[in-house]
Formats: sequence, C-alpha cells, structure tokens
Amino acid sequence: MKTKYALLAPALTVLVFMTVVPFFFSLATSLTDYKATEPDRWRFVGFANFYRALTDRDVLTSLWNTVLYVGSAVTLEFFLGMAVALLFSRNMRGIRTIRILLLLPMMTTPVAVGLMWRWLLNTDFGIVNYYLNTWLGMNGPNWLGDESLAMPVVVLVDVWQWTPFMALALLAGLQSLPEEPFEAAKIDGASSWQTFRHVTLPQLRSVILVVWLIRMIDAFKSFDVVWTLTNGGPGLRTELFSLRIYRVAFKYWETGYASALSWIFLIIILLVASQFIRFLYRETAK
Amino acid sequence: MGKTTRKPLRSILNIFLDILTYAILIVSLFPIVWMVLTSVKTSWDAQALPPIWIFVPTIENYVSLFSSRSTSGRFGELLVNSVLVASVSTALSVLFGALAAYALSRFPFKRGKDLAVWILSTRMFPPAATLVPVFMMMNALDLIDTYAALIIPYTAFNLSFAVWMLKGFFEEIPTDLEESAMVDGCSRLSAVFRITMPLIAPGLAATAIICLMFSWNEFMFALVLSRNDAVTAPVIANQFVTMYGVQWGELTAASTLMTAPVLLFAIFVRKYMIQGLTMGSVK
Repeated sequence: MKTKYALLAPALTVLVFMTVVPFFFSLATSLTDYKATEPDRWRFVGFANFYRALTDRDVLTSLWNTVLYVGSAVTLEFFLGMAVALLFSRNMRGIRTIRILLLLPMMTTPVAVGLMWRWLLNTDFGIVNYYLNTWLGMNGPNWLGDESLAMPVVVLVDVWQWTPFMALALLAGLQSLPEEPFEAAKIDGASSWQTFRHVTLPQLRSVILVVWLIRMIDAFKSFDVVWTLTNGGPGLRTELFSLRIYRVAFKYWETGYASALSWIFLIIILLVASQFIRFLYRETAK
Repeated sequence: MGKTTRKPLRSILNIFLDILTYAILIVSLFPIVWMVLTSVKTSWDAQALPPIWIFVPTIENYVSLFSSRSTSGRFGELLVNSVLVASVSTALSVLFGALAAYALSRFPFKRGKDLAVWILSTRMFPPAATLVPVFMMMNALDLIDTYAALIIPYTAFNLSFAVWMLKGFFEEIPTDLEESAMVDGCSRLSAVFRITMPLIAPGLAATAIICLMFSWNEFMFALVLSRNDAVTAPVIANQFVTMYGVQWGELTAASTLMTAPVLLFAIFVRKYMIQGLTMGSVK
C-alpha cells in the first residue's frame, strides 16, 4: 500500500515547495530589514515591519481601496448576475448560443481587458466619450485620470468582466433545482415574486454562498486588470493591496517590509477563504 | 376578461425581455469586438472620429508585431515563450494532479479529507503574497529569467485546481469497473489506463484546457520572474503603453492575438467552465 503515497508525492512536493516553504521563508524575512538589492546587509528588527504597516498611510489607503473595490464589485456583480440569470433562464430563440457567448468577457486575457478599456475610455480618441458627446451632448470626463471616477471605473470593468460568471453559475444553480416545488407553488397560486422569494432563493442558498465567496477571494487577488488600466492611479486612488506589495517589493526593493505585507494579505484572505473551506467540508461530508 | 388584456401585455413583456437579453449580450461583447476591429485598422483609421465602422481591413499591425524593425517586433518570440511555459506547466499539473486525484479517490487515507481540503486551500493563496518569497527563492536558486521560474509556480497554482477537478471525475467512475477488469487478470495500472482513463478523457481535456488558459493569461509572476529571455506575451503587451507612448493598433493586435486562443478554448470547454471556476461546487 505504499503506492498510494507515491501517487500523491509529486503533487504534494510541488505544492509544499511553492506554498508552505515560501511562506516560512517570508516569515523569516519579514522580521528583518532585508533588501534584495543589498543581500549582505540586513539585521533582525522583530515586528517593526508589521508595526510600520499599521501606521503606513499608503498601505492603509491600499487596504481601504481593496475593501471598497471588492465590496462594491462583488455586490454589484451578484445583483446584476442574479437578474441576468433569471433573464437568461427564459426560453428564447438562440438562448443557448447567447449563454455561451456570455463566457467570453471572463475568459479574455486580463491584461487585454485593461488595455481594451483604456482604449474605449481614452479621452481623445475613445469611442465612449465620442458617443456620449454626439448622442447625449455630454462632455465625456477623463475616466481614468479623474480622482473621483477612477475607482468606480475600475469597479465597473470588474463588473463587466465577472457578472457573466455570477450569472452563469447562478443559472446553473437555477437549472439544477427540482421542478416539484415550483409546480406546488403554482397550484397554490403563488405570484412570481413569492415563488422566487420562498421557493427559488432558499434552494439556491448554497450556490449563492459559493459564488459570493469565490468572487470575493478572486477580487482580493486582482492585479493585472488594475495594473494595466490605472496602475493604481491617479495618485493612490486605485492602488490595491496587491499592487502595493508589488511596489514595495520590486520598486522600492524593501523585501523585508514586503514580506510582512504579504503575511498580512495572507491572513486577510484566509479569513474569507476559511468560510469557503468550511462550506466545502460540509459538502464533501454529504 | 383578464385573459384578453393579459395576453398582449405578456407578449409585450416578452419582447422587452428579449431586447434586454440582446442588450446585455452587446454590452458584454462590444469591448472585445471593438478591440478586434481596431487591430485591423490603419493607425489613421483607428484614431478617426467619428469612429469608422466600415473599412478595408489591414494586417499591418500584425505584421509590425512580428517584424524585427518595429520596437515591439519580438512579439513572435514572446508568444513562443508563452506557449512553452503554459503547455509544460499544464502537462505537469494534469499529470501530477491526475495521480494525486486518483489516489485520493480510490484509497483510504488517514485524514484524507483534510489533505484534499488543504490542497484546495492553496488555490486561495493570494499570488501577490507568494510573489515576494517565490522571487527570493528563484533568486537564490539562480532561476530568474528562465522558463523553470515560471513553470514551477504555474504548475503549483494549477495543481490544486487539477486535483480537485479530476477527483470529481474519478469519483464518478464506479470502482467496480476497474475491479472487474482486475479480476479478469489486468494489473491495476492497465485497468486504469484501459478502463478509467478513456472514461474520464473529456474531464482530463477540460482540466488541461482550463489550466492552459490560466497559465497563458498569467501576468504578475511573469512580470517579476522574467527579464528578457523568458518574457511571456502579456508582459510586453503592457509595455505598449509604458514605453513606446501608446500604439493602439499594435496594442490591440497583440491583445487580440493573446485572447483569441483562450476564447476558442473557452467555447470548447464551455460545459466545464463554471464547474472549474467554482472548484466543482457548482455543476
């Protein structure tokens, strides 16, 4: 019965080597002022890096931005996604093809998504501002350069890309529901809202939980779209925590400090992810 | 009376909902369509206002991506890097993933469930948090700017997904099938390869394609772990903006080339996309 361990060995080796080992490595560096550019000069600083993070305005701003970004994007995606799922569950000609086409935004290369939207929203040559002007007579704003607009735009691009995911996952959930409760509701003369509220929603509970958690975990991880779209600007208006870590580590080369930030990020994600993991535990127990 | 007034109302509502459905589709697809259209325009046409909708397509942007006199003429080389890194890491994660998934689905393990859930949880690790330590490790091993520096982390990130996904497929195949083949004199290995593997072939293909897409799209690690030789396509696409001013024609051409294979694949594995993205918890 040694074979079963042999079968697991390659996968576990890679995973341990790329997840557990690096984190212990970075736990060690997070307690020093190590800089990758001056590898020979470093000293032990205890928890100074963690303390610094709690008082670093740029870090706190990026943390707040991330919370704002994740919260608003995922909430919008959920409500829009639910509406789209209901809309797309109707019988209409070509609906199957339409559902497949809805997969495309979420599969578009993230870097391309960022660049594509920069092009659409370009102040001088962008198609969005042109039609805003000719059709609505509005002077289109500088979407990505405006301090108060940049974050909403970044959120909306995420909504554009990921609402289809919510919609298709919820749709899959809707279609897997048994028919009898709906027939019973019909016989009892329930209105469509009552049916949705008291029959559909309760049965969709676990799917809803899963899509919220997965989208939240993924939105926390966002990097590439925001990087290409605004690179954190203007100022620090769209600087997410992941972008901050990158900048501290590879622009200022403060490796020790960046390691401490990585740990803080890991702990935040684990708080969200543990909910998801607990859910999967329950599911696998069934 | 109720019926006669309700019917036209109903059909008006239906028409409205149909239109809404198409509107959502248009909003979802328009940015992609506009990117592709811009990529086949001359740079003059691309920046023309009002926007030009009907024009003679040109491939000049694509040609200049691949011709060496252009500043970004290395694009072909980078695409090759992307293909190499994505396919090797996919092959590794599917192979290692299938072995582990088979073990987890067929043999009892002490705390096997903990193990499976731990494997899954590695998927949730924020890449930005592993970026710094992985960089330091690769630096210490002197692997920066090699294919290995990208292949190893990509394999790891896809592995948890591959294990979890394939475990689901293995569990759907009844063990009796393999056992009866073994009674008939097959070894376990040949039973697996003759009976089980062909049955989960679609699942293997779907898993591989989704892994391929993730590695192909990955940007952050490529940005940090490659310098010159191992740079993948997404990294340079970004440089159309930061280094050469903005060359919209070439930029959209590069974006189209990066996205096209992924979108084709996505349609191919559409049945498994949502299942894959939710780690099998929504089927």
